[in-house]
Amino acid sequence: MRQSIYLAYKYISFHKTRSIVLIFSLSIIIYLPNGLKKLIIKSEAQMIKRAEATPLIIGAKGSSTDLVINTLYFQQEKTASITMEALAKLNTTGFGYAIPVLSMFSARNFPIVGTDLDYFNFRKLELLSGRWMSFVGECVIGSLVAEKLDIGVGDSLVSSPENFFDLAGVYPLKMNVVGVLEPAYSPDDQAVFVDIKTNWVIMGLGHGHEDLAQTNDPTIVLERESTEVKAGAKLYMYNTISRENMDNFHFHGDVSSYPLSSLIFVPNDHKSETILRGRYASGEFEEQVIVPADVVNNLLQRIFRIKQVFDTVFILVGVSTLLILGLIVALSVRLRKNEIYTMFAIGSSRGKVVEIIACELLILTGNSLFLAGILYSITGFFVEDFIQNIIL
Amino acid sequence: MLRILFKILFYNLQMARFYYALYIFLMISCVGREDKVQEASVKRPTVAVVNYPLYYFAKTIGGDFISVYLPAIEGDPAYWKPDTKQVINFQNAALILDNGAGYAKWMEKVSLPSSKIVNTSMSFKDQWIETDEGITHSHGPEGEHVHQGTAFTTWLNFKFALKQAASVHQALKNILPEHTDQINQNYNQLKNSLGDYDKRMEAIASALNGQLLIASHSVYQYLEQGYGLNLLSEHWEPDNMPTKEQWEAVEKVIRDHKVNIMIWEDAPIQEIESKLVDLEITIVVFRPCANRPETGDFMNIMNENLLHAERVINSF
Repeated sequence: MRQSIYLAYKYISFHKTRSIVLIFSLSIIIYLPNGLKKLIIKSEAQMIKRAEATPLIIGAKGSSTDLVINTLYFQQEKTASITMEALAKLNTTGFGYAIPVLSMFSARNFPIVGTDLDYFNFRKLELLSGRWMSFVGECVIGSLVAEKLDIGVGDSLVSSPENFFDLAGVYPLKMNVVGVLEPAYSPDDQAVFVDIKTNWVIMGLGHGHEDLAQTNDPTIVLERESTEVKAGAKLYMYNTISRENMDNFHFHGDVSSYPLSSLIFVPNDHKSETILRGRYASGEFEEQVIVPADVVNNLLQRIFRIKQVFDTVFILVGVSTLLILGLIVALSVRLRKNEIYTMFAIGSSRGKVVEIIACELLILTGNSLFLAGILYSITGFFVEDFIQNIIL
Repeated sequence: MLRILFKILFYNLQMARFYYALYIFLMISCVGREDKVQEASVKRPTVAVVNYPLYYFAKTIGGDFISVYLPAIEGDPAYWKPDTKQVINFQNAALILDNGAGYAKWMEKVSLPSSKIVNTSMSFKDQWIETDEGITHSHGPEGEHVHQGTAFTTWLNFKFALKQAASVHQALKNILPEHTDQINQNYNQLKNSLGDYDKRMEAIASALNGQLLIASHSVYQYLEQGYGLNLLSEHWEPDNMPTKEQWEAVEKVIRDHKVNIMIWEDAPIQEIESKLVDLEITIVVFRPCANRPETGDFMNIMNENLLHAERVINSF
């Protein structure tokens, strides 16, 4: 047997290219259905876990899927917004508490999520370094943001403008990084968290500029009357919020009319949740209430119907690969006719020849399995990317 | 042989007693320690407040079940600015009591958990008094705008103070459901006292009968609104002598409307007092008590305010 393995090994080493191609094609055929299955199961579990951990989402009427994806995964779909008044109303019901979420902007391709400190408690997020944001203009970044951008506490991050060609549009805001989150292995790792008010500043609802009452520069102040000052475009708007200029930042209009993408509502108990949902169903509130787990389950069911198609394809590809493998073996036996004859001539039995060929197949299959195993084991690391790029 | 056996037995009995005594001792000390650990772990929830009236309401209603956090503030807490450590203290509190009505503007610039914030004047939001802060200005595409503000010394109307106390009461019951009875009892006492003060203030307002009064500062909007007073607010500080123009303007008002009472946030300096006496103006000190008083408490200060006003009215 040892001699057969030795001869099989020598034969495979001699025909390196052919053997490598065979090992790779076999390992891919073994890996693909299993890896995809693992990816799907893990993604499904992760999506359901996050959805189930979020009791209720409240948002503007429209696509419930977009609303859930925006709230849970910060995918900045164009969803209609609700106002802060909805949050105040919900908090007075006494059924639980609402957490605001506003995800419309990004900073270096990572979503900026405007919320408040309740969000971190609710998701049980911990700090790896630094502190929670205390003032407007500060941000706490997810672990992947810190890793990929190579930034940490004390650094800054600039919000990306909505449209580079809109010169009169929203000014980018330079945010101070005050904390980095511990890895949570969820979309929170890829988010830049700011206070909701910071997000409103980015939107242009709040801004800071020098005090017009104190400015005498005629190129800034175009008109001045006793009760009215008109400033020109030269008026400098602060693009960073510091302790020095914070007093000059202000919000215009009624804050209760300011926008939110959605609200995460955490009810006190099941009874409170049921009563609240009933009140939404009766039309007492303008917004819609969503149970994220239901929406995600529905979404997954629709998406994973494709999995059945994949399974069929993989079975067919597998069968054809096995047939090709059989053909390769048959052809190689025919090609090795002289070699096999020599083996017979020097006294080898028919069984020994079969044994050597079987050993060759065994080595090829073993290596393919090993490679497929490696691929399978690293598949788990790509669950989040799979969810973000393929499912959502 | 028997003697040896007896000695061994006796020795073992002695040892057994020793071990038993040691066991009992250890058990007692462990139980004692456990109690101490339990005591230490029963921490009183912290209630953070933005001004002294809310501090007083929370402390009176919550008693020893809570610890109340009001940072040491110099001047008016409405214009105070916290540092990072103080913001973190607010963030870590179990409950944050906000006065509402635009009080404590610093809250607009910090990050606090909204589920913990209770706006104590929300129940009478429709009665907040709007004020214009600054001039109308325009810049950029958004057009003209003026920064609107709200009068915020809400507690000077005792009816509103009662509503704020009710809001504090409800919030404390929510975080301390196990102490509801005691909290209710404390609240009822406070409610009765504030109710009495409200009646006294009604009587004062009734005696004034719409007579024009001058207020040294525009902090009495809710007192004016709540009790139908007729106030003209100046921007005078008790420790700064007003300018000649300011005196002239006030003298004209006194002449035109026969005003004989001026309300002050604090006792003015001797120089001002003498000049007001010359103008036959009686000073009524009515302290808003937004910050911790040097002596006494909120109710003492309000009682002094009312007593002072009652004395002045009775003297006419």
